[in-house]
Amino acid sequence: MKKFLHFIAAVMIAVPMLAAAHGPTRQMVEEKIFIKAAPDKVWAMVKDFGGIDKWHPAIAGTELKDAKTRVLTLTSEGNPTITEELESSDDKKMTFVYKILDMSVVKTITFNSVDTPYFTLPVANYKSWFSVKAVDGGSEVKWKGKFYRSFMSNPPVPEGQSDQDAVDTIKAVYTAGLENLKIIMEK
Amino acid sequence: MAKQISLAFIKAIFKKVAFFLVGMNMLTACSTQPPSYAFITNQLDDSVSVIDIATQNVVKTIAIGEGKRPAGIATSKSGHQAFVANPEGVDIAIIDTNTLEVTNHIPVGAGPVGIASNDDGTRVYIADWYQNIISVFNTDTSKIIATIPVGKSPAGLIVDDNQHRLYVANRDDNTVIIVDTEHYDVLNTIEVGTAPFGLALSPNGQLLYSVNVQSSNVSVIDTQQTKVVDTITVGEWPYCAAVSPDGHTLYVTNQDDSTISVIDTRSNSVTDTIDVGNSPDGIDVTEDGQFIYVVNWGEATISVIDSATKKVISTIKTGKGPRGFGQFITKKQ
Repeated sequence: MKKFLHFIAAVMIAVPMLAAAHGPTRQMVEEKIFIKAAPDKVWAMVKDFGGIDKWHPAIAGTELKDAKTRVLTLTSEGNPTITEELESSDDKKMTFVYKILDMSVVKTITFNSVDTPYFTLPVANYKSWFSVKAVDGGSEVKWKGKFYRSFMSNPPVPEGQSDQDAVDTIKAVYTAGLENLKIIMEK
Repeated sequence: MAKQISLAFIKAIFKKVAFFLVGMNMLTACSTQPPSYAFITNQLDDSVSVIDIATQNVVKTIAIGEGKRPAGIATSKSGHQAFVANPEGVDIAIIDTNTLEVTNHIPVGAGPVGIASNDDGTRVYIADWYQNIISVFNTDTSKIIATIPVGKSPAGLIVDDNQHRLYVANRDDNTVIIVDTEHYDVLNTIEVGTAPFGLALSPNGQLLYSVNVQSSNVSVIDTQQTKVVDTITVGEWPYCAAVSPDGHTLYVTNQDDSTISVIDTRSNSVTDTIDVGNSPDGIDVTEDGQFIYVVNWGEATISVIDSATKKVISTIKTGKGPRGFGQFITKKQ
């Protein structure tokens, strides 16, 4: 009986969490790379909001819904998608800002008796800044993102959905993209 | 003989005066006991940086405990303790502001983030991000004496002792609520902008400012009419705010612009925008109103702004991931 009461108590605590917030701590990732190519050429490549698949190896295709909205299809299993919106783009400063509007659900598991989705990336409220800067002998490309983990409730956190997992995933996305951009632009 | 006596008498008087003067000197040199400090929670370093306001130097880094992830901070007007909310440690840490040592950890809730104290430090209110409650902590008995159900994801808190009120920003309800601190009842629920996080209160308690993260504005609430009387557009992704001691100026951190909006509270208009470090988060004003301390979460520094010139006059290094979410500057005793 006591155990049962504990269970009821746990459920009562768990239920309001369903609609709860993202993790309480905003996260940030910033990656930079030097590319031996003219800044205007690099900028021309990256500013094309519908053309990220030309240089990012994890992105199989980009579909522009309108000038400011793109749907990315990833190369990974099941071809998950990410819908992103361009917030602003500045040719003079060679910067653009975009955010994630929506992502596909890769799988759903039952965690602590609650249906828990896994999205394409384990992040929420993702916003990103991309910039190209002229430096000695080429360009410095910077990709910065701020976001929260996607998991809504308090710890324990399901596998792959911690703050650290969110940071590691975004870092891997940025590094892979920037390294390939460097290879393409320096060819 | 008479001469000798008088000499001894004069010497004795002199000694007393000298002692008194030395005593005075010491008081002046140390200002008071203890001096005014800024307590900065370093979330990713599990520590608190203590900055002496007089010298603008870090005088100590206090370890809070591995994996505690300190975020919220509360100081009181006349108490000698600072209170740290640890969302991952699921407790609060109490710091003695004389010795700068952690004296106690008190388990509370499931995700304590926002925290505020009453004026004399006898009651501390802790917002729980996950459980949607405010816990009331009695510092004399070291016990949680009440829990108050509030809205979704309560964040910023402000206590007004004069009005016996606690103000709570419910981030995921887009509301600010007024709680009676005598009966722990919710008196009013006020709709504000999207995702209210930080709160600031005018010194006379008349106006409450709610910083709305996702609508990039500040709701101005008249605390007597209990309604929003104005809305001020600020920078991108604003987080926290602080009011000058004369109540005439409001400072707001714009996390995604890396700026501070300076607002004239008589016209509710932005008069200046000051560049600070990367991703400003918490903010507080010194007791005399001379300096504004801005906690730059993105680069682990404090920008110290001179309120007269509205310029950053120094940059102080903190631990990783500093938040300073709450009133983090102590008053001189």
